[in-house]
Amino acid sequence: MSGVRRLIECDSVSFRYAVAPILQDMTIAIDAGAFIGVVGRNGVGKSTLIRILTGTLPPQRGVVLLNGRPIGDLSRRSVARKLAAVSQTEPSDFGFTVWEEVMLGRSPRHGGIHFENSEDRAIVETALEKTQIAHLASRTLDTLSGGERQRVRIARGIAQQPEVMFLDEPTTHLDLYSQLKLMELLRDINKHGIAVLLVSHDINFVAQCCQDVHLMHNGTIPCHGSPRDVITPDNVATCFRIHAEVTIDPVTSIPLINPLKILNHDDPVFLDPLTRNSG
Amino acid sequence: MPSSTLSKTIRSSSILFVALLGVVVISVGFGARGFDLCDMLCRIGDGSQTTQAWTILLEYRLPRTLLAAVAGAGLACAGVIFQAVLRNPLADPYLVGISGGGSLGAVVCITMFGQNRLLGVSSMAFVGSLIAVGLVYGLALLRKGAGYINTIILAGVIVGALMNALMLLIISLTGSDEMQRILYWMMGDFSFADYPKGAVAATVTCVGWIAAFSQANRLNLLMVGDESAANLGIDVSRMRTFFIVVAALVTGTVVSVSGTIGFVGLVVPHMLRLAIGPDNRVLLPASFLGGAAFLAGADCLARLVAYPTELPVGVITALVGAPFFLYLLLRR
Repeated sequence: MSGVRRLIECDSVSFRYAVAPILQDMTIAIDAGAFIGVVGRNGVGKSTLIRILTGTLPPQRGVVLLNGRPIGDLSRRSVARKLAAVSQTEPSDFGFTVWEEVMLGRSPRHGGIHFENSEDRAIVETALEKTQIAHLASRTLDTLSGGERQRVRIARGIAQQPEVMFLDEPTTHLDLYSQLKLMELLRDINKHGIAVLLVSHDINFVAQCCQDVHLMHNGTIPCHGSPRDVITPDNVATCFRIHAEVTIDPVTSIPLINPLKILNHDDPVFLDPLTRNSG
Repeated sequence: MPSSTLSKTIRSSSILFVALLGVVVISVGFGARGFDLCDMLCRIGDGSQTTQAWTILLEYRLPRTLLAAVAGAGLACAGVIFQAVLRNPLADPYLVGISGGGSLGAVVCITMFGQNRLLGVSSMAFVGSLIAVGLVYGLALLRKGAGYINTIILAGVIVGALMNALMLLIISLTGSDEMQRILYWMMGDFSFADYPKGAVAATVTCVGWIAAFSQANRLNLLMVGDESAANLGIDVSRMRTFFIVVAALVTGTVVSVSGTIGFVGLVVPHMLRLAIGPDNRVLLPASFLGGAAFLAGADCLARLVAYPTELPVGVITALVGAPFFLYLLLRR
């Protein structure tokens, strides 16, 4: 037993929307301070996993524990004080300013009607500075670029003062510069004691960003571990159905994927079990 | 650093409160012979014609002005709520079939019992509104999930059309000689205003407003999407039901005492959102006061522009509202 506090424990959870199972006996745990990247193909159920872990979607089997208690038994408000989620997109038809939007992150700390106090304002200001969008505070969301809008949602998550922050496909619509800035930001958030779990199909981003990579395949996580251990040509072949060249950076020992070709169903490697099952 | 929401609320509400007071004074003060409030008060002061002046002011103009103000407040707040809950800036309180249901109830009562049973018309209209909303909401519950909001909007349009068709069917079959009364009802009519009606509408509207305002932060969260709202700490379907029930009760009550007055619930929230932003903690008080001022003013115009003929107030709100609505559409 390690001394690290377990924040979220998802124990053999199964979920299906209609007929096809999305999650099957999914088991995953998030410890305090963790920095987890879940990678998998489009449609493998990564967003569903986030919904299950944040308790917005109740699983049909299994249980998700937040600090040892079933998440479904907790009020949404007490969950929102522990968990923040940054989604891919949000409707923004009403013209909230960046400041107002980030201030929404303070909602779980207050009741139905509350006017922000100086503490709320200080927290929002810090969140805006940390995400480097303080200069946008009085702009409305519809005037921002995709990357800026994402920073607003991350700032809102920071203002929630959560223990875990979830991010769904955070690199979508981001150029390489913005991706590196995002990486920097997420590391900073993580350094300040917030566990981060992001899901992405962008395996290179995850390899570079996260200490703990979880591969997601067939509704479960067959293996996880350091990027170097998990991201192997065989594992990539199984999970992504591509033949890829994996080179290891000699200095950082971070693997880099270079996709070569699509694997056909009769390709022998496709039938191989995953080579590693490290814990 | 942006100014605090509380000071924004106080500032906008103060301005609109003064505007409302002004409109009420003007509306009560204007009569057939122009602005005669001073004259009236003088007559009360020097003892001549005291009773007559009091009667005109207190039993005719004041209750009517107050009823129009209450109806405007209720419709504007219901508009704010429906727009937030349905995440559609073009939603209005009648979208969920309330006006159709209310009209059907009123017409059933008018054609069957005649126009003297005004209490009957009001309660039938109220029942009709709630049946319509219940139908719409029931239909929406059958299809939860992502399409839920669109289902409400579509079901609202369909139920509204059905109610309207039934209403026209009844009118045609009975060959009602109450056409003008029905027509006025459908365009909004305050000429039957009295204190009991005003008191009922004011109570429901105020209670509804307090209920909504006490959850204004959560109404803000409903605007950012179901999943984000859930992750920001609210039980989305419960809060949405709460707000729809509150807004439907207020709208149903207003419709029952004033007929179906269009555009107030659509235009007032929009104008105010342009001026003070979308935050419901600012917008709900502002809409209450702004809606009241808007409709009391419109009713004053409706009484006076074509004197001695009285226009249905809905004509005025539509004449002001439709161009503004077009402007909004083109601006988007």
